[in-house]
Amino acid sequence: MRGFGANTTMPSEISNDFDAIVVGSGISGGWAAKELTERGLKVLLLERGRNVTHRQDYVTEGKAAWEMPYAGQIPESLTESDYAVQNQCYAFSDYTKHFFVNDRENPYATPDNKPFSWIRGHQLGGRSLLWHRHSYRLSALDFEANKLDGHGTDWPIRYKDLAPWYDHAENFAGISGSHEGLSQLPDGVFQPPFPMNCVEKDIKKNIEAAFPDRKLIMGRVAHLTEPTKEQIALGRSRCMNRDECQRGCSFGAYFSSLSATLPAANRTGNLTTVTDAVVDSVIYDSDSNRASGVRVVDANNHEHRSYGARLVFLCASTLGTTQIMLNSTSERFPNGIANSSGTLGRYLMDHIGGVGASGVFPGHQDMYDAGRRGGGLYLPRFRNVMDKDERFLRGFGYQGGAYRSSWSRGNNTPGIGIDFKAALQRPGPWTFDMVGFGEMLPDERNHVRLSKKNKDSWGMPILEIDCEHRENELAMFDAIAADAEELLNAAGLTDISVNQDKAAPGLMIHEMGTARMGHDPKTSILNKFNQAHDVPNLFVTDGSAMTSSACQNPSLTYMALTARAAAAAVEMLQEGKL
Amino acid sequence: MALLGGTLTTTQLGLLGNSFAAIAEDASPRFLCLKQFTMLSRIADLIIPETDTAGALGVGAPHFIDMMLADWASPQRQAEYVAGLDSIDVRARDAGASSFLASTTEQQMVLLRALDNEFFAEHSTDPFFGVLKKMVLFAYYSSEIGATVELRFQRIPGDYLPCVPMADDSHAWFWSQYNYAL
Repeated sequence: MRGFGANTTMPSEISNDFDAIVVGSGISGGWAAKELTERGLKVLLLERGRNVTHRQDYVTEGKAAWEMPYAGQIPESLTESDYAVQNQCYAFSDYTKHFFVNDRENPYATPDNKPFSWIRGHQLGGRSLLWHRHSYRLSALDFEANKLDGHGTDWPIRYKDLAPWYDHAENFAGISGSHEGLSQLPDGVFQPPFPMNCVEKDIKKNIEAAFPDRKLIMGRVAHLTEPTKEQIALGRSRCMNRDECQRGCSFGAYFSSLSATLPAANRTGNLTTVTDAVVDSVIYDSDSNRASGVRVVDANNHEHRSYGARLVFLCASTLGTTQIMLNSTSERFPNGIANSSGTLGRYLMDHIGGVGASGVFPGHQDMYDAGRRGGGLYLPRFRNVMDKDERFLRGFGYQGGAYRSSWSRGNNTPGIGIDFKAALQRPGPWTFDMVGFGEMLPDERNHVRLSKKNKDSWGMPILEIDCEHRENELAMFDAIAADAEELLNAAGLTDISVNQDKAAPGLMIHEMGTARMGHDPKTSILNKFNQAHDVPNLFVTDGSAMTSSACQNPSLTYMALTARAAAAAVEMLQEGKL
Repeated sequence: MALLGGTLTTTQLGLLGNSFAAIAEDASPRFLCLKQFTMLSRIADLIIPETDTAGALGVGAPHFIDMMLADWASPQRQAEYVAGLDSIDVRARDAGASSFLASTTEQQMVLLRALDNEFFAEHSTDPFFGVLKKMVLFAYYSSEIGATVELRFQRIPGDYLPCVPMADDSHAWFWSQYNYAL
């Protein structure tokens, strides 16, 4: 069955004349739709997946384990046959699997021994329904990093260019967090932070006493703690501390396209949304040197059609956008639209992660917490901030938190019977864990390309992804583990165990960089306004635009870049430059 | 699908130690054979017994696990349970009993404690008891009684209270685990 979002129209009734087409409805696409429609443009939003209606389609929301088939477990054979990759994601479960792609139906290829975990959500709202909601600004340090150490190309913008757009994004999305005055993690427009529990406060005190250059702060997360009038008008309300966000939130308490940007775009009356529309390629008009529209394959009946517009925004996720661009060939661009530089598909990055440490906090046995806080703590980068580290370039931060363990510790505890049951009824020890998020250098060898042999069922050549951690990443992993152990010792924890399991590239779900911004059309795809150097009315504002990865969770930066690009595009359009 | 579809009542529980055959005939396992199902019920009962709160039998854990084996488990997992339960029976016979179910409660506890200790031993080679215990705990604490009576559960907490004094009778919170691997 074909699904359409609110305010949608049947394809046959849609005029072929839009001001702008936005491809993809996740975090970037939602922002593009909002910013362009609010500036008066008639926008067609195309989503390859099914429609999801806010609230109504959150079918597992609020369900307890005993109200789910198999108590929330997915049949093992189904996981193996259809979700072998998606199952690697921490948020994948029977409560959320309908917001993840079916791996069997969405193939891609990797070389032997170079796994890449491509986690995807094909539906209206995309992965904005599934994200972890940590929202951090990149800093001046991050925008200068490539220029300073020579890896990658120089960002064509600096922190001051993006700062007002971070304000704009935070103000609308609603980010809770604390003001800390850190140069490497600029403050922003924050709603009140979630509180730390007693153990976290002690650990913060101990770490900061031992290491004056390190701070443990409440994570800055896209959860409403004190909604603004604008957020309330959009039907959003404050976080209820369920920590079941990825099932969808009818309170609209966490930012998603469905809770925030698409309602804002819809209320302008300028948005048309078509779901189940797989964009195959961007149509290039050589006479005008413009993108004239997009070719679409119907996700269900596989029929082809096309849409025209004066402006095209690609926001189909890093690898999705790159796949579309590589598949958009013409006489002028035989290797993909706007790819005269040959850099399209190269410099793929993800954050490095998985490695961290955990331990037991001996104090506060008479205290615990109540409610399930959706966001944890953050320990901002401290390496290569003031002093130069000789072991590796760039830096990493940690996410973590303290909690009293519950019944599942019984799996790792010897015992059976009455005493065992009685012990598990009580809150377990205070456990603190932290996991690193490190910057990955842009490297030309980490790349994607289109398969020459295999196509998916919509006729798109599948992606071949060739990406691996290299010397700098491996050295950084070691430092993440060693520093985590040192931090937890200083924090006063006992029974510290270090987790050395490195997440495969992709699994941090921060893939980026394959259509990078840069000064020079010979070495980059996009200019300082996320505008294709080669094709002036083509804009790319998802993670593929990232020139470097920094180590902060990147979604807030995509929001800011998208809003800034949309404002610039509309201005150029009005000036007749497009 | 209800998780708490168990047909064993606490009255029947009292019979379990004496009359396995009668209980096994009453039950209608879908995957396990009657003997295996009765063994599973007995083992679940010994891991999480009835106390002042319901135990594994009281929440229908054996029927839940049998359903999981029938509908959720992979063929390898199914085979693991069949072989694993049989191996526990072999261990009981090695100890001199005619079967696990024919052993006294004390003998059964001694054997299960030995299996539990072996699972946690440094060079453990047989993971089955750990797998089974994990499944019993999952079945029990994921049930409505397990989550809301034995533990505590808030569907919509509303607030996050970071520092709450514990009372002597404070129970741990239940929450649904992310991507929990059984």
